[in-house]
Amino acid sequence: MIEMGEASETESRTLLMSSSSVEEESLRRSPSPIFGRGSCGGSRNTSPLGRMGSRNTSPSRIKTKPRGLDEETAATFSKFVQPDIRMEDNIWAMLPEDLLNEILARVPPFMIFRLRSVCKRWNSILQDNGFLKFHSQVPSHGPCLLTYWKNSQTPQCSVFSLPLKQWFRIPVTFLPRWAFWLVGSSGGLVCLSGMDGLTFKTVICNPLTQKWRTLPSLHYNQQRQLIMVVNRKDRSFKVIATSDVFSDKSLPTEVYDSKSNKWSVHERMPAVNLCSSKMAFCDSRLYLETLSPLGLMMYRLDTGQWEHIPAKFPRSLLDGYLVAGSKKRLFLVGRIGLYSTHQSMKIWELDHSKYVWVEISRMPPRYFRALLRLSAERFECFGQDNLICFTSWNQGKGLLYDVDKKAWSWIAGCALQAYNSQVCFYEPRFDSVIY
Amino acid sequence: MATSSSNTNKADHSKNPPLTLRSSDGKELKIFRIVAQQSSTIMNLLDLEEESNTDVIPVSEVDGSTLEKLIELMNNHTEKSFNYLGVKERKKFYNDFFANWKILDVLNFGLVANYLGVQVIFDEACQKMADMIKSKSVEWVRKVFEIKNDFTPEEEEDLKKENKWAYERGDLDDGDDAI
Repeated sequence: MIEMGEASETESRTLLMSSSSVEEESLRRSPSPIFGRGSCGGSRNTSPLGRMGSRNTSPSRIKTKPRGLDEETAATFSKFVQPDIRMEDNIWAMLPEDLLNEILARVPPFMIFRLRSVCKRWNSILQDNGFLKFHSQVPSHGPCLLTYWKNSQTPQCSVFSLPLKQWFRIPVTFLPRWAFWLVGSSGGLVCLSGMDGLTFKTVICNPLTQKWRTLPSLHYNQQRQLIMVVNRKDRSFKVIATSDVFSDKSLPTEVYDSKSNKWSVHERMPAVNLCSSKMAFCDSRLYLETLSPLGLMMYRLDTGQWEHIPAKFPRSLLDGYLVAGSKKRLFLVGRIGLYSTHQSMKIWELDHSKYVWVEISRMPPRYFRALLRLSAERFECFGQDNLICFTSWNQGKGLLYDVDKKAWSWIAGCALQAYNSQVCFYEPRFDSVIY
Repeated sequence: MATSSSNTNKADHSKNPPLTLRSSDGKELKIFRIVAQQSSTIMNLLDLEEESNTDVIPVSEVDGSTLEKLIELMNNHTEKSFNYLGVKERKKFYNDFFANWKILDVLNFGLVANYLGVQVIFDEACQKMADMIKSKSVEWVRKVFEIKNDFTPEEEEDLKKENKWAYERGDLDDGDDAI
């Protein structure tokens, strides 16, 4: 039985995408056809506008015909025909829809909602599937941090936009009551899990569109460690369930594929050591940290097999976090020397050929002291695209390390609360689909 | 071909003298061919001019001052150093270029860039306009875009209520700087 739905009455009206618009295939942001002198004859498409245009007609153009140019092929806008206008006349009133779309597509996702109130035309444009897809193709308005918290009653979800330096509290009352734990976020989708009575369940949602769907149940009903990965190219996602949270017994690894909408069962992880909850996914491989002694296990999605990676972990490492970087990079982040005066936070990168952790950075002492006032304080660490984020709940601060630029910086304007203990990077996108 | 020093540019183009564009208000502006290549419209107009054998290309839909600014920006783009600018530096460059512009002027500029077929500049003008409106209130947007509010008060209230989370943290800056 598949549960899915759309937000309840009051929230459904504007936050859902209107289903009446036709999906426009041609909205891929291909390089706009600006032809230079060498272009062959026929109609010359000279306008940057028109990427949003309809499928087979020549791309639309604002009708300001230059004198001396050939008669343009009859270009029509996808929605309405504009009478010829001189550019000075009443620009605003006759603002072509294409130009408006180009402007609105560049407005950050969270600001779009407010603009729906401007007038009916804008409300309609800003909910149109075609526009939302176009909007999602504009380079990312991230990164953002998403925090999720649920007491027994209401779920709370807040998103901090790093570029805008602003918090937004996103309504998530549409989520099923059992959704307690934040699994993670990827490609605009957010995955949560929880116990519905005695059944362990998972749910996928897009907070921006308020669409959500409960995934089918796993074969083995236990509370499991999960990780979600999105493949933006084929618009699919997978969820991997590894160890039992209570680590009593070793369970077969299960993989959910959105293309088949099924969980498949794979190799049991060799019961080597105790499993930690620290996992990272990169280059179609899942890495998992095992404890006592510290070790690294790797699961290959293509073969469905586990492998032990004989990389020796740094001595006296505490709270080691695995963080996936871009392409095939894998980082290890953790504290060294907890009870010594030379305690520090370090970052290592895995050398995949030699299976060695190579130290690449150390948190400067002033950041370390400011982040963790008490030496044994807890912190969270997660990453995306070569950005590693450290959060300290007691200090209410967030620290970023940019691996490429080798730069440390505080996240400005981001006051974290103690209850924001479930946090991850998030990329707000209208076009992420839950199927 | 294009180098960062304009002197060398001139030397290279002694064989290709600069083109002359004439604006709607009769202003004549020079632009090197290699710079003009960014504009598909100018290239098209050039074809026609070469047929009719005159020296000056009329760009009769664009006024002189806007055309001058556009040419300036196009010149910047052909400088080699420009292509090596990182994302942040490019953003700063355009922020500086558009600093203190009124939104109507940015729109006009964007329309001109569109008319002349200069993709990059058109994108940047749209980005600037998006930046200018994103933190403004709904009332400001209506005023500047001269849009009539066709919602009934009840409809508007409902809409606001559904999206009220987007209205929180109302640090809207309706300063008149952009109008």
